[in-house]
Amino acid sequence: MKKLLLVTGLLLLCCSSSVAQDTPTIEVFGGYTYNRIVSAGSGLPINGNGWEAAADWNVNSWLGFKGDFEGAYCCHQQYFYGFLGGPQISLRKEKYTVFVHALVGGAHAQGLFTSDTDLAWALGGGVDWNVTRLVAIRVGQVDYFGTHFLNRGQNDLRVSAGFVFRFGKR
Amino acid sequence: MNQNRLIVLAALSLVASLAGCCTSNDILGGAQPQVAEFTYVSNENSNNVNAYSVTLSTGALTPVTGSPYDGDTGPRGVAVDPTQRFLYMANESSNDVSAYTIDATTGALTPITGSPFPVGTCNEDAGVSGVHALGTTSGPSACGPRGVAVDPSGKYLYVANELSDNVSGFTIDSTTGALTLMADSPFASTSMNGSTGPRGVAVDPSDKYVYVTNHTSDDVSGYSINATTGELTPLSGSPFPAEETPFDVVVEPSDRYVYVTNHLSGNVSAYALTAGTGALTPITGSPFPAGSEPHGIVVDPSGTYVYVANHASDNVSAYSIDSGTGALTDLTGSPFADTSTGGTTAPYGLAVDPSGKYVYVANNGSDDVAIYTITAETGVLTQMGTTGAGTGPHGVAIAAPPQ
Repeated sequence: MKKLLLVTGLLLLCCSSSVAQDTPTIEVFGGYTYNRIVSAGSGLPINGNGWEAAADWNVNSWLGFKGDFEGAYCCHQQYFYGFLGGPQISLRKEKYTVFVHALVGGAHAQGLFTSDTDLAWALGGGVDWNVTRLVAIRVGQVDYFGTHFLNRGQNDLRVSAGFVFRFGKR
Repeated sequence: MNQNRLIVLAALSLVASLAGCCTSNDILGGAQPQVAEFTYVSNENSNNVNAYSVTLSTGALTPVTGSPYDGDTGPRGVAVDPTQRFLYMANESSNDVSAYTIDATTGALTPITGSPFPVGTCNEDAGVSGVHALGTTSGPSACGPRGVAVDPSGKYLYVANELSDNVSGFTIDSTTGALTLMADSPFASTSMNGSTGPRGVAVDPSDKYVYVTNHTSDDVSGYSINATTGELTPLSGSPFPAEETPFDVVVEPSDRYVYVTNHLSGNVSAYALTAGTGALTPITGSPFPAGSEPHGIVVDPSGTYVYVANHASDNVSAYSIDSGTGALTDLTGSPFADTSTGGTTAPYGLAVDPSGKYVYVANNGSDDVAIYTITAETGVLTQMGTTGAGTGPHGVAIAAPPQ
């Protein structure tokens, strides 16, 4: 967590001299996600790979609200779905956009023998490389992803990358 | 190096450091699974049932203390009830059903008081006729129980009687597992083609319909289940045509498709199950080729793959199910050889474990059980070896009692 905050802070400081980007009304993200899922029972880590999709509605140049969905798949037909929402804060420059978000919602997991649906939350951020005014590459997004399956807390990690499409203008 | 490249490298480094860190496990379970699994194999010649505990990480079978357990004469089909507490085994020659309680911790079997339970009076009125008049044609003998199935509610047990052309129905005592014949049992299996010779039996996941393969009349009888009494009523349009000598039947978990092995024609008939009526309609492309003399058939718990034991070609056919049409497509590498140091395997029955990781095949020729792992992403089978069983292994059932 400390490392995440340090990286985010350095990124915010390093590039303040760049020109600000136009603010789109809506940003839509789609891409690959890797989840390091902690087993609710054993506490051992499990690799999950899948997809993430998100839509962010921007109130102004720095504040928006995001809906975030993901699906990650593992061994022997196990899978994990997350559905979250919450605020996102962005720093927009001509060549890149840095963002952080705080999301809450729920998650569903299918294990070997049982399934569960419970609360979930995510805290993280990332960097988009602005290819054009309308399209960006999400170079990386890292989230602490918390779940509460089987009445126990789990601390998961999510890493995502993909493409961002922008619509409208504030 | 500019700032953009630094950001990309940082992200890639983070992912690289995480890759390869983790082992296969259960998202919602412990490192040791929260259930145990036990595999049971009926032996038609040694008149008993083998019990094994399953090592869930490898699929290996270890005999349970006390195994094998005595059955009656000529054990064939075997089934576990949905509560995972009781095991039932049809004995073809003694015309009865052996019933056992399953020890949730050890998998050991204990005969239920009153076992074995006769399948009923099998006489001329019940339909023994034609080429299947083996044994006497009157009196309580000559039922020939083969296939056995428990309904999803765990309240009813159905037995296909090969020699008496009917289906016996029992109610199951929810506490003891003891069997009581239904008032109107047995339920006739009839066909325009004459004697039917019921062998396999299956109940659909909605608990509304029973399907029975008639290996003499080359068709499939369908019945509706009375929700209150469990008694059977023939479906409109039943029996539904199959190919030559249908042996076994399975309904896939989504309750949309039914699959039947046709022993002599070497293929699998596939049907769409009409919701509301239970009627069976052949799927486009049916029947789908199998190996030589297909016998047992199963669907994996996810409803993605079908596996068929081919008795005369010593292998297992494997298919994927098209979720939209029910059509079967051979998996790459199918059929998968069933080999044993004991010689010709001649597989009969098979089962997929509840986790969907392993297939167990009863090898009637080599007197052992073949163990296969299932590759989750493809359904492809890899044989891991065999474990000794009794004489003439026939049916396979798996229990996974909660711990």
